[in-house]
Amino acid sequence: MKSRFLKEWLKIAEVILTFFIGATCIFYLLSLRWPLFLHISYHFIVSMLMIQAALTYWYTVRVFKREKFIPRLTSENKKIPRTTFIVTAYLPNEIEVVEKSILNILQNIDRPEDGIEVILAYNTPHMEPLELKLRGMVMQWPELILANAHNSRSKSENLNYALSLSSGGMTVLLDSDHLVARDCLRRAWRWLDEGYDVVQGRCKVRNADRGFVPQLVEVEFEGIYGIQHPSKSIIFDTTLFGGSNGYWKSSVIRKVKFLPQMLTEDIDSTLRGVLAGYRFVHDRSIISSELAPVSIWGLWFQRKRWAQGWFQCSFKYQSDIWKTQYLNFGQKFIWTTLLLWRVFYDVTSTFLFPVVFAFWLKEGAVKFPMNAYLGFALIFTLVSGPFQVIAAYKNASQPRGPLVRYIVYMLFVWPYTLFKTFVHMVAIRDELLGERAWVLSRRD
Amino acid sequence: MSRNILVERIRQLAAADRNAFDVYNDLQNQVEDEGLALILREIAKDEARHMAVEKELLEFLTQQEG
Repeated sequence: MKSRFLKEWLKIAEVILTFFIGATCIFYLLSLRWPLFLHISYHFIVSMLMIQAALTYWYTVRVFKREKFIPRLTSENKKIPRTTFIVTAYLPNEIEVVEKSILNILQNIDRPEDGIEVILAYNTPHMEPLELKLRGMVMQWPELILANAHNSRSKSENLNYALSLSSGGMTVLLDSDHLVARDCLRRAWRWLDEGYDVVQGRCKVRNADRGFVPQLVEVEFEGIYGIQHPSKSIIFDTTLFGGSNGYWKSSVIRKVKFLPQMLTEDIDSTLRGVLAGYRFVHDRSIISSELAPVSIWGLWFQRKRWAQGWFQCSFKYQSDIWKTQYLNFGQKFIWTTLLLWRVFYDVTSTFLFPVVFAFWLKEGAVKFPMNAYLGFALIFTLVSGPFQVIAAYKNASQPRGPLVRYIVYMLFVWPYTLFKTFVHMVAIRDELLGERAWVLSRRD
Repeated sequence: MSRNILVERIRQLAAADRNAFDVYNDLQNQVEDEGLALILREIAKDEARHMAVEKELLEFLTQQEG
């Protein structure tokens, strides 16, 4: 364990050396040769920050007001089909949380007329006492199916195995810690009945009282699932499947499946689905609660895997997104901001610090160059984060966390953004060097 | 026992037999002893037969429901 942290510290040192110290030297040397270079670079980076902030305002304003679901003419008004819940778990570590999640489905969910089935997908050869416990549950609940994906080495293989056993017309994918709301199937089916192929619900953190990290993630998730995803769905009629609390037409997920070699199999399956012409929608009224990492290292490893997975997908699918006939211009634009722009923006915005440091070196003093444009850009960019937090508070899922958590998040939104950008840099370093081992997110 | 519960139970057993089939099938390829491999192959075949019968039974029960 200690060696793993030491390794991460070394990676952090490498990134600081390359992206900050090395880049500062390069910017300084270039400014000696071309004095305008620093000036242009500085304005270019500030303009990029402004563009990103403008996107944030756009998304936030678009979903500031709650909108009710209005059925479209394409609705077939079919009854909710038999539904398969697939719960993936890393056993034996997650037995306590997964037991609670399975019982929540079996005991609380409003069942369709044709019933449900719950498939627990896992893979472990050493779990005799646990298997006895699970078999006890199976005897009590005839709808529970144990799917031990023998020889599987990934969540994707477990999911594919579970899919091969499933019999429902709608498939719900859940991580082991998710407690879905009672009315989730009715709400999700409205969209699938209307012609969509996948519905992504809202994920809410339920362990925010466990410390500072889950508190940050709680408010962050209210922004992601309450603003960012729904706004993309409303403005551009496209969104993504986030790995859990996702509702698929079974015929679609059986075709799309999951690729084991991808670090974020959810984003990969989304993109393959989008490129095959399937339609994704986000509904923030379908709520499922989950457990956020409680330690900073837990958060670090989780976000690094996400960032590396997105980075993989960015390069694998960006050109296909531009070429596909299934997306219109707006949808291609939004997917570009999620793929190539995300990488380009995070890398380039990191250079703001080296540019400023190089300027200080050149001037021989700590100065902050300022003019009307830069002053406006500074305020415009700095206010965008807190503005989104206000909207997130207004539209938060119930029960809403205390106001003080949102105020704390507002104060930390910039350091937290820098943290995530830094994680992205380390993830890019890992991907470029072929380091793809990842650490399981602990759910305690 | 209601028909619904019977159907669900058979689904559970079909999944369990599929799990077992996968394990025996893998084991028969892993062991070096020929005799042992033969026994494991027979058990794997047995599990496959169970799966086939369960599939037929499920089809029969669901058709009757329809």
